[in-house]
Amino acid sequence: MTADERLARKAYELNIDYPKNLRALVSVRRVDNILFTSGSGCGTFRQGLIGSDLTFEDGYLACQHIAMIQLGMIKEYLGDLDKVDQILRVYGHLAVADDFHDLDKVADGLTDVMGAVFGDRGRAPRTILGSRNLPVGNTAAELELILSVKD
Amino acid sequence: MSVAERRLERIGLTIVGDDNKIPSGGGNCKYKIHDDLLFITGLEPYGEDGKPAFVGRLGREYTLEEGYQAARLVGINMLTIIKDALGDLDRVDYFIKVMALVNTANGFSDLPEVANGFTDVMTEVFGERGMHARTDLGATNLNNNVPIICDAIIKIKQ
Repeated sequence: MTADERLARKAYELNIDYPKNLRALVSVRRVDNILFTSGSGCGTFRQGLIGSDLTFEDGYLACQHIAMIQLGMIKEYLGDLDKVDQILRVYGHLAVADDFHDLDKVADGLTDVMGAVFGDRGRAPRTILGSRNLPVGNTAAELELILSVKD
Repeated sequence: MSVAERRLERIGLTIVGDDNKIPSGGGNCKYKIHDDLLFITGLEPYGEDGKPAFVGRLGREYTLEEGYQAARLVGINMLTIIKDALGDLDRVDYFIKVMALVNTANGFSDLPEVANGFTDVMTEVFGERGMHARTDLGATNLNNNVPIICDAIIKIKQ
């Protein structure tokens, strides 16, 4: 099964359609065979602070949603997800309540999708911090990637 | 013994050379290598028992000096990961970029003074090559409520 097929299957399973026709935005930049993606939030899908306005589960779903957006951006840019070599780094902000400390498990929402689509190559070093006031009416999370592509 | 490890010994630091005690979250991993770049995950100040040695925020539970010590511990943990990734600390060409996330409360803003704990370890061990571009960021919260997390992008000798 190709990575594109696994993405389509994941989209069906999660009932999240990854975005297409993103050309109006500069969402991906390439240097040699390294790609940098823009941070994306989950828009109005989940808004508010995880741990007060939103549950842990909401946060996980928000990160899954963002994974699909990021994969849509990468697919748009590369044409074919099988050109992805490995995810090198995940960086992101989670909007969390003062006493919510389980950030890594929430961010697994994104890395679990990357693992499902790319296998071990989708596992990545990760830097996650708790934040407030993310874009789009305090969307629950915002995540970006650095990844390598095959020559 | 490598040059970097002799320096470590001189300043009285030891690394275990076994990163099993430094956990990584479920879907992530501790490092990735691409060509001559080493990407290291955001590390927490873990102690020898594999649990966070510091839990709390700067400006509430911890003072600047305690935060500095937590940042040094993150640096020491990162040496363990680098040794695991490269086999030998001397394969580090130079540090490129570090991001320091500091868990803050009550308007605490001495972020660089805290993050210097990490940078000091790297310059003590690698000299000039341990210097890096660094971004310090105050977070409202961090995983496990630790006071500091640092990640790094490192150039590997070819």
